[in-house]
Amino acid sequence: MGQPNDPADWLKAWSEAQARLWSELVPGQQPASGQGLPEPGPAGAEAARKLMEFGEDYLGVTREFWKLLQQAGQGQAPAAGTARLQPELEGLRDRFIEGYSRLLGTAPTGDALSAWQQMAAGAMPAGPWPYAQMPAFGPLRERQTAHQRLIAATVRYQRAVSRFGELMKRVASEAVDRLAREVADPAAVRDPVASLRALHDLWVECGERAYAAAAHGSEFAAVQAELNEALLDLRAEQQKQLEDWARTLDLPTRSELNTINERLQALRRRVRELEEEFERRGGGPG
Amino acid sequence: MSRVSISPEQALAEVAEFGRRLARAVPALAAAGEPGAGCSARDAVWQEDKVVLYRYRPLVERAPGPPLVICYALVNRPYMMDLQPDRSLIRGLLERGVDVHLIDWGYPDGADRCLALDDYVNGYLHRAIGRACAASGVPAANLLGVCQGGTLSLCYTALHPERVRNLVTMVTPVDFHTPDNLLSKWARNLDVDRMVQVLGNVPGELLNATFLSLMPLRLTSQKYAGVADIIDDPVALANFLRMEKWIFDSPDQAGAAFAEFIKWFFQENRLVLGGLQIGGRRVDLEDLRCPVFNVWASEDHLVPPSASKPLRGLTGSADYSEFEFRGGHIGIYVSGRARETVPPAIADWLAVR
Repeated sequence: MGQPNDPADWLKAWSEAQARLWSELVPGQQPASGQGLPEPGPAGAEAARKLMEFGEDYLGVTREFWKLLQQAGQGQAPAAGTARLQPELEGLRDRFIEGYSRLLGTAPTGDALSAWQQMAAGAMPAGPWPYAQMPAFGPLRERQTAHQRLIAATVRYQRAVSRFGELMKRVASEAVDRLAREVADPAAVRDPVASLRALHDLWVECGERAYAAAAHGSEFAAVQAELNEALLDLRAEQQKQLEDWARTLDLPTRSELNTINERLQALRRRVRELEEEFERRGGGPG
Repeated sequence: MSRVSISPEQALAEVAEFGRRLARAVPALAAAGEPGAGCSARDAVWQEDKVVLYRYRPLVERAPGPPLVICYALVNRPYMMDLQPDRSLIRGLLERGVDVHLIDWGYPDGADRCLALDDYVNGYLHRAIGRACAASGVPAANLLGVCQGGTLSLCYTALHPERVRNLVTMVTPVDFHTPDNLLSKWARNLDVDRMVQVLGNVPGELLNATFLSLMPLRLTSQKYAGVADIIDDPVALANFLRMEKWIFDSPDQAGAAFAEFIKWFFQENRLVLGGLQIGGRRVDLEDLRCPVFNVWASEDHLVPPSASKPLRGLTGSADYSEFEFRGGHIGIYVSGRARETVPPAIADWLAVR
């Protein structure tokens, strides 16, 4: 069998090599685009699954980047605005978004769910709420207003996530532009990128620079703060509903525990002050 | 002209090699086992609530002088100071005869959410130092504050100068409003009272996500791609796993103390601008008159040097020294270079005071 010469053949060979890798790591399973990674099984399979995730991240980025370079033509730098290369540039941009969003609240699936999203997951009301905008009245008035507050908080949170996602898209576009400039920079030709790892490092470097430029800005801080506050709002509404329910069954609530905690801590501080005063006055046991 | 010069054959070969390495990773990780936490022998000498004071057993004859109490940050676990024999600041100090004590703040839970900075500084820290002093028969201890623990140590020393003979601060934020401090920029927009009201204690996982999001691609992508490089090196792999354990072993933060720390330091920068009170007592760094040794890391992305350096000129000490470590916030504890330079610098500085 001869060596492939067309870029598409090389990419096919790459994909096949990667597929072989995944099947060796977890026999019978391989990640498919948009389908996520295999379900965790026994300990070995779980370790393999994590490695696949990291491997797919690394190889996925380098594959997209290398594909772009191949499409642009060997020896040519890809220009960010080149229409012919839009699909490849979009692919790279998506990789940046995935990388940024893994922790920040807009990641799509699986383990990539951020700590924020995990906290919010249980707070989302399910199903449609036809009376979301209705003025509340009647015997169930209080329940309706509680539901409406929950809906409003959910909508606020979803908007905040969406706004954050939009910001990340812009940062990712900037990162792609930086990447294109870096690859094309005539001054950098003396510092060639001669391996896939170096290609990945360049991707990281450009991504981090674009991210840092945004992250230090006031817009980022404001969007992040809104995401934070929206989530807290949502959780607070959920907690309130749970507490109302607990009170009807005469179960202890977090608010009551907090009150007890505060009183106890104040008492402990007072005891400490008295002990210190006692010591200062030369007191001692027996 | 592109600066990328990777032939298709080379790319394919790299993918295949990466695959082979990853395939070896599963048995290699299984063989590495669960990493331990801390490596030097020690005894618990005092405990209150979840806070424990440890005294390390000597490796050589103890040098004369007061004990050294290490006050670690409330964030993350203090075994970072004693991660493994060849990467242990504590071991480096023990080898130089320092009588090392370490405060372990434990893992706060829901019952601790009302603990305030007053409880930590004037309560636990004060009593831990009192215990260390009493055991050694001295009126004052040497205090080594690390990161946030350094900030708490500065406050403590200003409030209780009679209890601190010498103060060492490591990677300690002092000025929280320097332009390169990203964490501070983010924290300034936080409605932290609301946050604590809703969350109670602040989850360690949330703090971790925040720290990682300072450099998301480097810390969640590039780092793990690098695992393929060390998969055939059991020592490097064990080091990696130990670091991973430490990074993600993050205690929740007692709500009240967290809120005070964010507001007073990150948002209002009171250590520099004034107006800080802990337990109803004014904290003024001018009141800190003991010798001070300020250690920072030149590449620190969490506590940039610009946040640590302003300590010079803020204290009332006539004996102020500095030490710059060339490395990052983590490297200062665990790198080979740190092991060779940081413990000797601290021990030598203490030895003549």
